[in-house]
Amino acid sequence: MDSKSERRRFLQNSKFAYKVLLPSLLFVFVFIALPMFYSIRIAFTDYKYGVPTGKPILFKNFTDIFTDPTIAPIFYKSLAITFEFAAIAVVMVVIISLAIALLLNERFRGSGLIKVALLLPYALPGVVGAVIWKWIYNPTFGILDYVLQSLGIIKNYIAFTGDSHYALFTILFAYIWKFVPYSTFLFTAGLSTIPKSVYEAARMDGSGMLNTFRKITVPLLMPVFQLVLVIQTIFALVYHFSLLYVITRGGPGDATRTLAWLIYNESFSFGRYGRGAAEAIILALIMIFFIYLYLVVLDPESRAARKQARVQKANV
Amino acid sequence: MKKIVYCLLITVFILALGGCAPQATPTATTAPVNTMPPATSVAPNVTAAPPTPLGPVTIKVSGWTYDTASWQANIGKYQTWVSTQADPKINVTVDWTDADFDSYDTFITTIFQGGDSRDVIVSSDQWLGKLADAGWVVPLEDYWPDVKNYLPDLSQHSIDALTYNGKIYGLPYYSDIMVFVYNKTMLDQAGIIAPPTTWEEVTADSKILMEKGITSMPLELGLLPGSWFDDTVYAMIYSNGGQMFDADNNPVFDSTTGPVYDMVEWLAKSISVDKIIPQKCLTLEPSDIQQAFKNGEPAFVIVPDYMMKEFNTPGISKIAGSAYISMMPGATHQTDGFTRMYLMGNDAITDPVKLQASIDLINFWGGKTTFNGVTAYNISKQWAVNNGLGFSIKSLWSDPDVLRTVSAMTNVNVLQKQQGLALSKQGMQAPWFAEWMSYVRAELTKAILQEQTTTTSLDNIKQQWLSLKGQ
Repeated sequence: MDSKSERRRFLQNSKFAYKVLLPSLLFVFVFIALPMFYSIRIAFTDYKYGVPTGKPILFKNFTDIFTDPTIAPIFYKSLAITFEFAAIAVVMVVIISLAIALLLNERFRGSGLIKVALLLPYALPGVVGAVIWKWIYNPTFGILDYVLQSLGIIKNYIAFTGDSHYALFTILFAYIWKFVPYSTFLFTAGLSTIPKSVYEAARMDGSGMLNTFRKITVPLLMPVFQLVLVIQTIFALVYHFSLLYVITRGGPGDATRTLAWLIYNESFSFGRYGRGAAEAIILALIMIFFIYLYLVVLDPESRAARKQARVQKANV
Repeated sequence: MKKIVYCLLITVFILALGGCAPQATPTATTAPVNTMPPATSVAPNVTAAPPTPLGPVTIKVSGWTYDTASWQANIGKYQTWVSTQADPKINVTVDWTDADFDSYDTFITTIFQGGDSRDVIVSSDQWLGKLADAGWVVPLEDYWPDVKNYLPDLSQHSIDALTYNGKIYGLPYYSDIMVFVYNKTMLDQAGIIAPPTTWEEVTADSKILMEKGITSMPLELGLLPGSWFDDTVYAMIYSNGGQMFDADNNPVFDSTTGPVYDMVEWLAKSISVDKIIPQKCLTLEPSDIQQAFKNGEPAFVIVPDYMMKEFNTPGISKIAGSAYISMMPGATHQTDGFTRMYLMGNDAITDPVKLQASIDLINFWGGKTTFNGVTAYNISKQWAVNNGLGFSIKSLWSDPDVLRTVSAMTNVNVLQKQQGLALSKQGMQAPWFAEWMSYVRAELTKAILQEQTTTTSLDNIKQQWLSLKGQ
């Protein structure tokens, strides 16, 4: 069959698929693609409040962000806080959600109920969850201080969100509480695809729990790991904003002023839309870098190729 | 197939770039001076009205959510007044939108920047510079010269707040000052016979209160960003005779010595060393401070004067009758005054009837008009009497209802004396003030928590101001 007729048949068969996809594609185009293109455009202009359109200034927004003596230190500090937050958040969410998923993978009484209860933090709107945590952390009537004082761990109530040593961790705990369920369900779904016979065979061969986890569960779960890492990295870099807005507002001082908060401030508090868009692009590029890293480093085929290359090198 | 998809994507991309330019925001036209018939003046004489009201016209008005019922009632009163008693009569519908105060600046900015507009907006002094600089609000005196007749009846800090580039932009909605409030019962229990008059005395009295076990948190301040941080810090700086900027908006505060330095050092020491101010003040909302004082937790607070109504109302305050104001401690006893105001949006000047209606609205709400036979600052008085909101209108002090209300809340003599020493925030007319204050809050908080020296913080604040000014 020649390729032209193959193409014609492919197009004919695809017509229905495209018709069905059209509404979704339109939605993505209008609400995601267009704003994205617009943001990229204004990042190269001096667009700010009170000005109908910005003048093109090429890369000045970016050079200011990286080199201007009054802007750059704020940006770098926010970047550092963002990386610190994201690193801890991703690691903790992955470990906790995997542990819960492994637990839920064992059938026991009430596991169904636990699965439903686990959904609640994720199902709650972000702001609602943030307000709950704000009350928990309240230094006058918050339950956290009450419990810690009752247990004798602290003598006096501590204003956790007002102390720069603890403030970022208050956001972290609230974030982990919110996003563990999502990853737990992804891991649960991944674990359910691993045949039980594999574990039985390992047990019969005398493999211990840790060995089974290392040699069977982890490799077979790698695609899900990749997915969870990608999603959690994106979430951690951006989706903590509602927690910041409600609980600490970037403070105390600049202890919780992440890049997401900086972008919000630049764009909506100061009206510097061009610079805000430039910072958003930088954040997006950081996200893309990490996603690429995960896909390359954790890709099974790449890992196998790298392992083979190591073996060959060793044999030479 | 791939080529078709790529071509489509590129076409869409180009179209998106070209077609996504923001709409031009309406720019203020050249201000016509005295082209409109004179609006209702300070003491209007109701002349023979035209047989048919002008309009109908709709004016778009925005404010923040506070006592929505009263705002709706005031809209109704205005619509009635302007259609039946004003000169000229106009059939007006007020299209009111509001947002909460914390996000109000973003709300208004988004409205104007997105290409929409307003005829009248309720605003605050710290936003006037930005709104005027962007051309989103227009000088009221250019379209209604009679507004200047109100100035002799307003306090100076309010006039300063309403002025941008030498022109009056609006009339006050309410105007208040930061006051130093003490719980007399707690002071009596501690054997302190008079409230402190200097910050050193505040420290000493606070330590006495702590040692006698009367309170473990003698002084509470609103230091949460977005709370009363700006007003509190400015009040404390002014109380010591501190100056922030000169008339040309050049920073004049010293970063190594002087009243501004001393005040930040005192705050840092009070939180971190003497512990007379609990660190949780960096997390407390205004409502938390309010509630804490009403529950008898701190002995001293610095709050807007309008809080006094709640502090001294039995049934909702445990310390009703014990809350008193004293002069702001410090060398000069000066304090911060702030003004919320009615401003005219740039859309009002696009149509003569809308312009008249907008001027009438600002005058009815912020000025002196005759409504149902009563000639008074009707709405300003209503806010003062019903809600306890402060006012900068001097003649309102002669109103028996106002005097009775204020006397029930607080010591009138002290309040009047403190009002006379109120200053508006220096520098707030600069369009970059909000951006700079965001930086100030972070830097001062670091100094207060002793994460860096006061000198470093003040140097950084100064550099940031100069950089923003240069842009």
